[in-house]
Amino acid sequence: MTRRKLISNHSRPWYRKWATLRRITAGAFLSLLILAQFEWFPWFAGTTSGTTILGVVPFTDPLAALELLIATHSLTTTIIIGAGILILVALLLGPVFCGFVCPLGLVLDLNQMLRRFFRRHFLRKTKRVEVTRAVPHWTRYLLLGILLGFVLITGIPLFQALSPINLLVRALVMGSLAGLVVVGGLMVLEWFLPRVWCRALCPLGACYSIVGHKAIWRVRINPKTSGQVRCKQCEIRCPMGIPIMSEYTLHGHESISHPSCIRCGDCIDVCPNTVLGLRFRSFPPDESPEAKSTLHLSVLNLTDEPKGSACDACH
Amino acid sequence: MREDEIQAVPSPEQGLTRRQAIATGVGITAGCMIGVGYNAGSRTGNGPLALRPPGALIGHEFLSACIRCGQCVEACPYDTLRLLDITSGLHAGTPSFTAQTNPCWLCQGHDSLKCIDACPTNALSPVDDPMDVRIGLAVIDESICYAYNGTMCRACWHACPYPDQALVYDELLRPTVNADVCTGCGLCEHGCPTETASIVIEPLKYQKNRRANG
Repeated sequence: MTRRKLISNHSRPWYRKWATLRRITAGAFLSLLILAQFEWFPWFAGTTSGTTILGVVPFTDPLAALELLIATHSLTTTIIIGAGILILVALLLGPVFCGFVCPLGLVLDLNQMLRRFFRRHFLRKTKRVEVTRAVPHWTRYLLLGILLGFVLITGIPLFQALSPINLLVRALVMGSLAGLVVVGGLMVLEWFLPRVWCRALCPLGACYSIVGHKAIWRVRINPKTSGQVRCKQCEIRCPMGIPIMSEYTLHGHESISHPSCIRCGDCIDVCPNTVLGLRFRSFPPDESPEAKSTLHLSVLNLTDEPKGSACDACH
Repeated sequence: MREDEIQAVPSPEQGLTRRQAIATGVGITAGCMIGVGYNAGSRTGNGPLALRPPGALIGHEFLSACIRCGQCVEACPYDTLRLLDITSGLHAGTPSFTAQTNPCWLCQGHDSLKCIDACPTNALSPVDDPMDVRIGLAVIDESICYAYNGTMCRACWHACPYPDQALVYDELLRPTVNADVCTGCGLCEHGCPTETASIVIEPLKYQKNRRANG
Protein backbone atom coordinates (compact mmCIF):
# COMPACT_ATOMS: atom_id res chain seq x y z
CA MET A 1 0.00 0.00 0.00
CA THR A 2 1.19 3.48 -0.75
CA ARG A 3 1.46 6.10 1.91
CA ARG A 4 -1.26 8.18 0.26
CA LYS A 5 -3.66 5.29 0.54
CA LEU A 6 -2.85 4.80 4.18
CA ILE A 7 -3.34 8.39 5.24
CA SER A 8 -6.45 8.91 3.12
CA ASN A 9 -8.91 9.16 6.00
CA HIS A 10 -6.70 10.96 8.45
CA SER A 11 -9.05 13.89 8.77
CA ARG A 12 -12.39 12.97 10.19
CA PRO A 13 -15.21 15.45 9.76
CA TRP A 14 -15.79 17.44 12.97
CA TYR A 15 -19.10 15.73 13.68
CA ARG A 16 -17.45 12.32 13.77
CA LYS A 17 -14.78 13.32 16.24
CA TRP A 18 -14.76 12.16 19.84
CA ALA A 19 -13.56 15.65 20.73
CA THR A 20 -16.89 17.07 19.56
CA LEU A 21 -18.97 14.64 21.60
CA ARG A 22 -16.73 15.15 24.60
CA ARG A 23 -17.01 18.93 24.45
CA ILE A 24 -20.77 18.70 24.00
CA THR A 25 -21.26 16.48 27.07
CA ALA A 26 -18.91 18.52 29.25
CA GLY A 27 -20.52 21.72 27.99
CA ALA A 28 -23.98 20.37 28.71
CA PHE A 29 -22.96 19.46 32.25
CA LEU A 30 -21.51 22.92 32.82
CA SER A 31 -24.67 24.51 31.40
CA LEU A 32 -26.78 22.44 33.79
CA LEU A 33 -24.61 23.57 36.70
CA ILE A 34 -25.02 27.19 35.65
CA LEU A 35 -28.78 26.84 35.08
CA ALA A 36 -29.17 25.17 38.48
CA GLN A 37 -28.70 28.47 40.29
CA PHE A 38 -31.96 29.84 38.86
CA GLU A 39 -35.19 29.20 40.67
CA TRP A 40 -37.05 28.35 37.43
CA PHE A 41 -34.71 25.40 36.86
CA PRO A 42 -35.48 22.99 39.71
CA TRP A 43 -34.41 19.79 37.93
CA PHE A 44 -30.74 20.08 38.74
CA ALA A 45 -28.84 21.31 41.79
CA GLY A 46 -25.31 21.41 43.09
CA THR A 47 -21.73 21.73 41.91
CA THR A 48 -19.05 19.19 41.01
CA SER A 49 -18.71 18.03 44.64
CA GLY A 50 -22.29 16.85 44.74
CA THR A 51 -25.35 17.24 42.56
CA THR A 52 -28.97 16.19 42.65
CA ILE A 53 -30.85 15.44 39.47
CA LEU A 54 -34.63 15.81 39.31
CA GLY A 55 -34.59 16.41 43.05
CA VAL A 56 -34.10 12.70 43.72
CA VAL A 57 -31.03 11.09 42.15
CA PRO A 58 -27.84 12.14 43.93
CA PHE A 59 -24.35 12.19 42.47
CA THR A 60 -21.37 12.63 44.74
CA ASP A 61 -17.77 13.09 43.77
CA PRO A 62 -16.13 9.82 45.00
CA LEU A 63 -13.17 11.78 46.33
CA ALA A 64 -15.55 14.04 48.29
CA ALA A 65 -17.15 10.91 49.76
CA LEU A 66 -13.72 9.53 50.65
CA GLU A 67 -12.66 12.82 52.25
CA LEU A 68 -15.92 12.93 54.20
CA LEU A 69 -15.40 9.35 55.39
CA ILE A 70 -11.88 10.12 56.55
CA ALA A 71 -12.83 13.44 58.13
CA THR A 72 -16.03 12.46 59.94
CA HIS A 73 -15.84 8.62 60.06
CA SER A 74 -19.40 8.43 58.77
CA LEU A 75 -21.34 8.62 55.53
CA THR A 76 -24.98 9.38 54.80
CA THR A 77 -27.17 7.27 52.52
CA THR A 78 -27.28 10.11 49.99
CA ILE A 79 -23.50 10.17 49.79
CA ILE A 80 -23.19 6.37 49.51
CA ILE A 81 -25.74 6.21 46.67
CA GLY A 82 -24.30 9.27 44.92
CA ALA A 83 -20.70 8.10 45.04
CA GLY A 84 -21.72 4.49 44.36
CA ILE A 85 -23.32 5.40 41.03
CA LEU A 86 -20.21 7.23 39.86
CA ILE A 87 -17.89 4.46 41.05
CA LEU A 88 -19.95 1.88 39.13
CA VAL A 89 -19.76 4.03 36.00
CA ALA A 90 -16.00 4.35 36.44
CA LEU A 91 -15.65 0.59 36.95
CA LEU A 92 -17.43 0.00 33.66
CA LEU A 93 -16.30 2.93 31.51
CA GLY A 94 -13.05 4.02 33.15
CA PRO A 95 -12.22 7.59 34.16
CA VAL A 96 -14.69 9.08 31.68
CA PHE A 97 -15.46 11.89 34.13
CA CYS A 98 -12.17 13.57 33.21
CA GLY A 99 -12.87 13.80 29.50
CA PHE A 100 -16.61 13.86 29.20
CA VAL A 101 -17.83 15.69 32.31
CA CYS A 102 -15.16 17.69 34.14
CA PRO A 103 -15.75 21.44 33.61
CA LEU A 104 -12.08 22.24 34.29
CA GLY A 105 -11.12 19.56 31.79
CA LEU A 106 -13.29 21.32 29.22
CA VAL A 107 -11.73 24.70 29.93
CA LEU A 108 -8.19 23.30 29.81
CA ASP A 109 -9.01 21.37 26.64
CA LEU A 110 -10.25 24.55 24.94
CA ASN A 111 -7.21 26.37 26.32
CA GLN A 112 -5.04 23.77 24.62
CA MET A 113 -6.99 24.15 21.38
CA LEU A 114 -6.33 27.88 21.55
CA ARG A 115 -2.64 27.19 22.13
CA ARG A 116 -2.46 24.89 19.10
CA PHE A 117 -4.19 27.52 16.97
CA PHE A 118 -1.85 30.23 18.22
CA ARG A 119 1.25 28.17 17.59
CA ARG A 120 0.16 27.25 14.10
CA HIS A 121 -1.06 30.61 12.88
CA PHE A 122 1.08 33.11 14.77
CA LEU A 123 4.29 31.30 15.59
CA ARG A 124 4.15 29.32 12.31
CA LYS A 125 5.17 26.19 14.17
CA THR A 126 3.68 23.46 12.05
CA LYS A 127 5.40 20.48 13.53
CA ARG A 128 3.65 19.07 16.57
CA VAL A 129 5.90 18.49 19.51
CA GLU A 130 5.55 16.39 22.58
CA VAL A 131 5.95 18.45 25.69
CA THR A 132 3.85 16.50 28.09
CA ARG A 133 6.23 13.56 28.33
CA ALA A 134 8.47 15.77 30.46
CA VAL A 135 6.08 15.44 33.44
CA PRO A 136 5.94 12.10 35.27
CA HIS A 137 2.74 10.13 35.81
CA TRP A 138 3.05 9.33 39.48
CA THR A 139 2.94 12.87 40.86
CA ARG A 140 -0.85 12.97 41.05
CA TYR A 141 -0.89 9.82 43.15
CA LEU A 142 1.60 11.52 45.43
CA LEU A 143 -0.74 14.52 45.64
CA LEU A 144 -3.72 12.22 46.28
CA GLY A 145 -1.76 10.68 49.14
CA ILE A 146 -0.80 14.07 50.54
CA LEU A 147 -4.43 15.16 50.34
CA LEU A 148 -5.73 12.07 52.15
CA GLY A 149 -3.04 12.35 54.84
CA PHE A 150 -3.91 16.01 55.37
CA VAL A 151 -7.62 15.21 55.64
CA LEU A 152 -6.85 12.38 58.07
CA ILE A 153 -4.99 14.68 60.44
CA THR A 154 -6.88 17.97 60.13
CA GLY A 155 -10.36 16.68 59.27
CA ILE A 156 -10.89 19.33 56.61
CA PRO A 157 -11.86 18.20 53.07
CA LEU A 158 -9.10 20.21 51.47
CA PHE A 159 -9.74 19.23 47.85
CA GLN A 160 -13.40 20.18 48.02
CA ALA A 161 -12.44 23.55 49.49
CA LEU A 162 -9.64 24.54 47.16
CA SER A 163 -9.58 22.36 44.03
CA PRO A 164 -9.46 24.39 40.80
CA ILE A 165 -12.41 22.31 39.53
CA ASN A 166 -14.61 23.50 42.36
CA LEU A 167 -13.17 27.01 42.24
CA LEU A 168 -14.07 27.26 38.55
CA VAL A 169 -17.59 25.95 39.07
CA ARG A 170 -18.17 28.16 42.09
CA ALA A 171 -16.98 31.17 40.12
CA LEU A 172 -19.41 30.43 37.29
CA VAL A 173 -22.33 29.29 39.43
CA MET A 174 -22.04 31.11 42.74
CA GLY A 175 -20.07 34.14 41.65
CA SER A 176 -17.06 33.55 43.95
CA LEU A 177 -14.77 35.17 41.40
CA ALA A 178 -11.60 35.10 43.52
CA GLY A 179 -11.14 31.43 42.59
CA LEU A 180 -10.70 32.37 38.93
CA VAL A 181 -7.19 33.60 39.77
CA VAL A 182 -6.15 29.99 40.41
CA VAL A 183 -7.88 28.72 37.25
CA GLY A 184 -6.34 31.52 35.18
CA GLY A 185 -2.90 30.73 36.58
CA LEU A 186 -3.36 27.12 35.63
CA MET A 187 -4.37 28.09 32.09
CA VAL A 188 -1.25 30.18 31.68
CA LEU A 189 0.91 27.38 33.10
CA GLU A 190 -0.55 24.95 30.60
CA TRP A 191 0.72 27.02 27.70
CA PHE A 192 4.17 25.92 28.84
CA LEU A 193 3.32 22.49 30.25
CA PRO A 194 0.33 21.20 28.27
CA ARG A 195 -2.35 19.52 30.37
CA VAL A 196 -0.13 19.44 33.43
CA TRP A 197 -3.10 19.62 35.81
CA CYS A 198 -4.90 16.57 34.43
CA ARG A 199 -1.70 14.63 33.79
CA ALA A 200 0.32 15.22 36.88
CA LEU A 201 -1.60 17.12 39.56
CA CYS A 202 -5.29 16.22 39.78
CA PRO A 203 -5.99 13.92 42.78
CA LEU A 204 -9.57 13.38 41.57
CA GLY A 205 -8.24 12.05 38.25
CA ALA A 206 -5.88 9.77 40.19
CA CYS A 207 -8.84 8.53 42.21
CA TYR A 208 -10.83 7.79 39.05
CA SER A 209 -7.79 6.11 37.48
CA ILE A 210 -7.44 3.77 40.45
CA VAL A 211 -11.14 2.89 40.28
CA GLY A 212 -11.38 2.65 36.51
CA HIS A 213 -8.08 1.32 35.20
CA LYS A 214 -9.55 -2.16 34.68
CA ALA A 215 -12.67 -0.89 32.89
CA ILE A 216 -13.72 -2.76 29.76
CA TRP A 217 -14.53 0.37 27.74
CA ARG A 218 -11.12 1.43 26.56
CA VAL A 219 -9.08 2.38 23.53
CA ARG A 220 -8.57 -0.86 21.61
CA ILE A 221 -5.95 -1.48 18.97
CA ASN A 222 -6.90 -2.96 15.61
CA PRO A 223 -4.22 -5.55 14.80
CA LYS A 224 -5.07 -5.33 11.08
CA THR A 225 -3.87 -1.77 10.75
CA SER A 226 -1.51 -1.20 13.68
CA GLY A 227 2.14 -0.59 13.05
CA GLN A 228 1.79 0.39 9.39
CA VAL A 229 2.08 4.16 9.59
CA ARG A 230 4.44 5.06 12.38
CA CYS A 231 3.42 8.68 12.52
CA LYS A 232 3.18 8.87 16.33
CA GLN A 233 0.31 11.36 16.05
CA CYS A 234 -1.65 9.57 18.81
CA GLU A 235 1.26 9.83 21.17
CA ILE A 236 1.94 13.46 20.34
CA ARG A 237 -1.67 14.48 20.83
CA CYS A 238 -2.48 12.39 23.93
CA PRO A 239 -3.31 14.91 26.68
CA MET A 240 -2.21 12.42 29.33
CA GLY A 241 1.16 11.80 27.69
CA ILE A 242 0.68 8.07 27.27
CA PRO A 243 3.28 6.48 24.94
CA ILE A 244 0.51 4.98 22.81
CA MET A 245 2.51 4.00 19.75
CA SER A 246 5.92 3.30 21.17
CA GLU A 247 4.69 1.13 24.04
CA TYR A 248 1.28 -0.19 22.97
CA THR A 249 0.48 -0.42 19.27
CA LEU A 250 3.96 -1.47 18.23
CA HIS A 251 4.12 -4.09 20.96
CA GLY A 252 1.06 -5.92 19.74
CA HIS A 253 -1.03 -5.01 22.77
CA GLU A 254 -4.76 -5.46 22.47
CA SER A 255 -5.73 -2.19 24.18
CA ILE A 256 -4.32 0.89 25.90
CA SER A 257 -4.37 -0.35 29.47
CA HIS A 258 -2.47 2.62 30.88
CA PRO A 259 -4.19 3.76 34.10
CA SER A 260 -3.93 7.41 33.04
CA CYS A 261 -6.07 6.95 29.92
CA ILE A 262 -9.16 9.13 30.31
CA ARG A 263 -10.97 7.86 27.18
CA CYS A 264 -10.94 11.31 25.60
CA GLY A 265 -10.61 9.82 22.10
CA ASP A 266 -8.03 12.36 20.90
CA CYS A 267 -5.72 9.57 19.72
CA ILE A 268 -8.59 8.09 17.69
CA ASP A 269 -9.41 11.46 16.15
CA VAL A 270 -5.87 12.07 14.91
CA CYS A 271 -5.08 8.49 13.81
CA PRO A 272 -4.59 8.50 10.02
CA ASN A 273 -5.05 4.76 9.73
CA THR A 274 -8.01 3.90 12.02
CA VAL A 275 -5.85 1.79 14.28
CA LEU A 276 -7.55 2.84 17.48
CA GLY A 277 -11.16 2.71 18.63
CA LEU A 278 -13.07 3.15 21.91
CA ARG A 279 -14.75 -0.22 22.30
CA PHE A 280 -16.07 -2.68 24.87
CA ARG A 281 -14.57 -5.66 23.05
CA SER A 282 -11.27 -6.31 21.33
CA PHE A 283 -10.94 -5.93 17.61
CA PRO A 284 -11.08 -9.30 15.82
CA PRO A 285 -7.61 -10.83 15.47
CA ASP A 286 -5.89 -10.42 12.15
CA GLU A 287 -5.78 -13.81 10.44
CA SER A 288 -4.32 -12.72 7.13
CA PRO A 289 -1.00 -14.34 6.10
CA GLU A 290 1.06 -11.17 6.24
CA ALA A 291 -0.17 -10.37 9.75
CA LYS A 292 2.43 -12.50 11.44
CA SER A 293 5.22 -10.99 9.49
CA THR A 294 3.99 -7.44 10.25
CA LEU A 295 3.83 -8.13 13.93
CA HIS A 296 7.15 -9.86 13.84
CA LEU A 297 8.63 -6.87 12.12
CA SER A 298 7.30 -4.47 14.71
CA VAL A 299 8.53 -6.62 17.57
CA LEU A 300 11.93 -6.83 15.94
CA ASN A 301 12.06 -3.07 15.65
CA LEU A 302 11.25 -2.46 19.28
CA THR A 303 14.62 -1.11 20.12
CA ASP A 304 14.36 1.60 17.47
CA GLU A 305 12.77 4.68 18.90
CA PRO A 306 10.12 5.68 16.32
CA LYS A 307 11.12 8.92 14.72
CA GLY A 308 7.66 10.32 14.22
CA SER A 309 8.60 11.39 10.73
CA ALA A 310 6.12 9.51 8.61
CA CYS A 311 3.30 12.00 8.92
CA ASP A 312 5.18 15.25 8.93
CA ALA A 313 4.51 15.25 5.22
CA CYS A 314 0.83 15.87 5.71
CA HIS A 315 0.81 17.97 8.85
CA MET B 1 3.44 -18.11 17.30
CA ARG B 2 1.59 -14.84 17.42
CA GLU B 3 0.18 -15.51 20.87
CA ASP B 4 3.67 -16.25 22.10
CA GLU B 5 4.94 -12.98 20.75
CA ILE B 6 2.26 -11.06 22.61
CA GLN B 7 2.95 -12.92 25.83
CA ALA B 8 6.60 -12.17 25.50
CA VAL B 9 6.07 -8.41 25.40
CA PRO B 10 6.24 -6.96 28.90
CA SER B 11 3.13 -5.05 29.98
CA PRO B 12 4.13 -1.42 30.41
CA GLU B 13 1.80 -0.68 33.33
CA GLN B 14 3.02 -3.27 35.80
CA GLY B 15 5.81 -0.97 36.86
CA LEU B 16 3.35 1.92 36.81
CA THR B 17 0.97 0.46 39.38
CA ARG B 18 3.81 -0.22 41.76
CA ARG B 19 5.02 3.33 41.33
CA GLN B 20 1.48 4.59 41.97
CA ALA B 21 1.20 2.63 45.19
CA ILE B 22 4.56 3.88 46.41
CA ALA B 23 3.69 7.46 45.45
CA THR B 24 0.35 7.24 47.28
CA GLY B 25 1.97 5.79 50.38
CA VAL B 26 4.71 8.41 50.46
CA GLY B 27 2.04 11.06 49.86
CA ILE B 28 -0.10 9.92 52.79
CA THR B 29 2.91 10.08 55.08
CA ALA B 30 3.85 13.52 53.81
CA GLY B 31 0.23 14.66 54.03
CA CYS B 32 0.00 13.54 57.65
CA MET B 33 3.10 15.54 58.47
CA ILE B 34 1.74 18.61 56.67
CA GLY B 35 -1.52 18.12 58.57
CA VAL B 36 0.29 17.99 61.92
CA GLY B 37 2.14 21.13 60.95
CA TYR B 38 -1.11 22.82 59.95
CA ASN B 39 -2.81 21.84 63.19
CA ALA B 40 0.12 23.14 65.20
CA GLY B 41 0.17 26.39 63.26
CA SER B 42 -3.51 27.23 63.27
CA ARG B 43 -5.14 28.69 66.36
CA THR B 44 -8.55 27.41 67.33
CA GLY B 45 -11.36 29.67 66.30
CA ASN B 46 -9.20 31.15 63.59
CA GLY B 47 -11.51 31.81 60.68
CA PRO B 48 -14.17 34.12 59.42
CA LEU B 49 -16.92 35.17 61.79
CA ALA B 50 -19.44 33.34 59.67
CA LEU B 51 -23.11 32.76 60.38
CA ARG B 52 -23.93 29.24 59.24
CA PRO B 53 -27.25 27.98 57.84
CA PRO B 54 -29.89 26.51 60.20
CA GLY B 55 -29.08 23.11 61.65
CA ALA B 56 -25.35 23.48 60.98
CA LEU B 57 -22.85 21.62 63.11
CA ILE B 58 -20.62 23.86 65.18
CA GLY B 59 -17.14 25.07 64.26
CA HIS B 60 -14.66 22.47 63.09
CA GLU B 61 -17.28 19.70 62.93
CA PHE B 62 -19.09 21.71 60.28
CA LEU B 63 -15.89 22.26 58.29
CA SER B 64 -15.33 18.49 58.27
CA ALA B 65 -18.84 17.44 57.32
CA CYS B 66 -19.49 20.05 54.61
CA ILE B 67 -18.43 18.85 51.15
CA ARG B 68 -18.86 22.36 49.67
CA CYS B 69 -21.41 21.31 47.07
CA GLY B 70 -23.46 24.49 47.34
CA GLN B 71 -26.83 22.74 47.18
CA CYS B 72 -28.05 24.62 50.28
CA VAL B 73 -27.28 27.91 48.53
CA GLU B 74 -29.28 26.89 45.49
CA ALA B 75 -32.15 25.59 47.61
CA CYS B 76 -32.51 28.77 49.69
CA PRO B 77 -35.77 30.45 48.59
CA TYR B 78 -34.67 33.84 49.93
CA ASP B 79 -31.25 33.94 48.27
CA THR B 80 -29.76 34.35 51.73
CA LEU B 81 -26.86 31.92 51.67
CA ARG B 82 -23.54 32.58 49.98
CA LEU B 83 -20.48 30.38 49.61
CA LEU B 84 -17.28 31.75 51.12
CA ASP B 85 -14.50 32.23 48.55
CA ILE B 86 -10.80 31.38 48.71
CA THR B 87 -10.01 34.50 50.72
CA SER B 88 -11.42 32.52 53.66
CA GLY B 89 -8.77 29.81 53.20
CA LEU B 90 -9.96 26.32 54.09
CA HIS B 91 -13.43 27.69 54.80
CA ALA B 92 -13.77 28.23 51.04
CA GLY B 93 -16.96 26.80 49.61
CA THR B 94 -18.82 26.59 52.91
CA PRO B 95 -22.17 28.41 53.15
CA SER B 96 -22.73 31.44 55.31
CA PHE B 97 -24.85 34.58 55.34
CA THR B 98 -24.65 38.18 56.42
CA ALA B 99 -27.56 38.98 58.69
CA GLN B 100 -27.61 42.71 58.08
CA THR B 101 -27.98 42.48 54.31
CA ASN B 102 -30.00 39.28 54.04
CA PRO B 103 -30.97 37.35 57.16
CA CYS B 104 -32.28 33.80 57.47
CA TRP B 105 -36.06 33.94 57.14
CA LEU B 106 -36.36 30.43 58.68
CA CYS B 107 -38.38 29.41 55.59
CA GLN B 108 -41.53 31.04 56.93
CA GLY B 109 -44.37 30.03 54.64
CA HIS B 110 -42.56 26.87 53.56
CA ASP B 111 -43.23 23.47 55.05
CA SER B 112 -39.59 22.77 55.86
CA LEU B 113 -36.15 24.36 56.00
CA LYS B 114 -34.99 24.03 52.40
CA CYS B 115 -31.23 24.16 53.00
CA ILE B 116 -31.40 21.26 55.46
CA ASP B 117 -33.46 19.22 52.98
CA ALA B 118 -30.88 19.86 50.27
CA CYS B 119 -27.78 18.95 52.30
CA PRO B 120 -26.42 15.53 51.24
CA THR B 121 -24.30 15.14 54.39
CA ASN B 122 -24.93 15.68 58.08
CA ALA B 123 -23.36 19.13 57.95
CA LEU B 124 -26.89 20.57 58.21
CA SER B 125 -28.80 18.19 60.41
CA PRO B 126 -32.59 18.11 60.55
CA VAL B 127 -34.44 20.40 62.96
CA ASP B 128 -37.98 19.55 64.11
CA ASP B 129 -39.26 23.07 64.34
CA PRO B 130 -37.82 26.36 63.01
CA MET B 131 -37.97 27.53 66.62
CA ASP B 132 -35.29 24.95 67.52
CA VAL B 133 -32.79 26.47 65.08
CA ARG B 134 -29.70 27.90 66.80
CA ILE B 135 -27.63 29.93 64.36
CA GLY B 136 -26.31 32.33 66.98
CA LEU B 137 -27.55 34.74 69.58
CA ALA B 138 -28.75 38.32 69.18
CA VAL B 139 -26.75 40.73 71.29
CA ILE B 140 -27.84 44.35 71.85
CA ASP B 141 -25.33 47.17 71.90
CA GLU B 142 -27.02 49.39 74.49
CA SER B 143 -24.84 52.38 73.72
CA ILE B 144 -26.30 52.92 70.25
CA CYS B 145 -29.73 51.27 70.48
CA TYR B 146 -32.45 53.91 70.09
CA ALA B 147 -34.68 52.29 72.72
CA TYR B 148 -31.91 52.43 75.30
CA ASN B 149 -31.19 56.06 74.46
CA GLY B 150 -34.60 57.60 74.95
CA THR B 151 -36.13 57.17 71.49
CA MET B 152 -39.15 54.99 70.96
CA CYS B 153 -38.17 52.11 68.61
CA ARG B 154 -39.68 48.69 68.14
CA ALA B 155 -38.04 47.78 64.80
CA CYS B 156 -36.37 44.61 66.07
CA TRP B 157 -39.54 43.51 67.83
CA HIS B 158 -41.50 43.88 64.60
CA ALA B 159 -38.86 41.98 62.64
CA CYS B 160 -38.48 39.12 65.12
CA PRO B 161 -40.27 35.90 64.07
CA TYR B 162 -40.97 35.12 67.74
CA PRO B 163 -41.84 38.51 69.31
CA ASP B 164 -42.52 38.50 73.05
CA GLN B 165 -40.74 35.15 73.28
CA ALA B 166 -37.29 35.70 71.85
CA LEU B 167 -37.39 39.47 72.13
CA VAL B 168 -39.03 40.84 75.28
CA TYR B 169 -39.61 44.44 76.35
CA ASP B 170 -38.97 45.52 79.90
CA GLU B 171 -41.09 48.06 81.76
CA LEU B 172 -39.13 50.93 80.19
CA LEU B 173 -39.88 49.53 76.69
CA ARG B 174 -36.28 48.49 76.13
CA PRO B 175 -35.70 45.22 74.23
CA THR B 176 -33.94 42.29 75.84
CA VAL B 177 -33.08 38.97 74.22
CA ASN B 178 -34.26 35.70 75.69
CA ALA B 179 -31.34 33.38 75.01
CA ASP B 180 -33.51 30.29 75.46
CA VAL B 181 -35.73 31.13 72.50
CA CYS B 182 -33.60 33.31 70.17
CA THR B 183 -32.81 31.37 66.98
CA GLY B 184 -30.15 33.77 65.75
CA CYS B 185 -31.90 34.21 62.42
CA GLY B 186 -30.77 37.81 62.15
CA LEU B 187 -34.10 39.33 61.17
CA CYS B 188 -33.70 41.84 64.04
CA GLU B 189 -30.25 42.85 62.80
CA HIS B 190 -31.72 43.22 59.32
CA GLY B 191 -34.54 45.40 60.62
CA CYS B 192 -32.47 47.57 62.96
CA PRO B 193 -32.57 51.24 61.86
CA THR B 194 -29.23 52.34 63.32
CA GLU B 195 -26.44 52.70 60.81
CA THR B 196 -24.26 50.06 62.47
CA ALA B 197 -26.89 47.59 63.63
CA SER B 198 -27.27 47.91 67.38
CA ILE B 199 -28.54 44.34 67.64
CA VAL B 200 -26.18 41.82 66.03
CA ILE B 201 -25.98 38.04 65.83
CA GLU B 202 -22.97 36.39 67.39
CA PRO B 203 -22.27 33.02 65.75
CA LEU B 204 -22.90 29.93 67.84
CA LYS B 205 -19.24 29.02 67.59
CA TYR B 206 -18.41 31.66 70.17
CA GLN B 207 -20.97 30.48 72.71
CA LYS B 208 -19.90 26.92 73.25
CA ASN B 209 -21.90 26.21 76.41
CA ARG B 210 -25.06 27.69 75.01
CA ARG B 211 -26.52 24.55 73.49
CA ALA B 212 -26.22 22.77 76.86
CA ASN B 213 -28.06 25.61 78.60
CA GLY B 214 -30.70 26.13 75.97
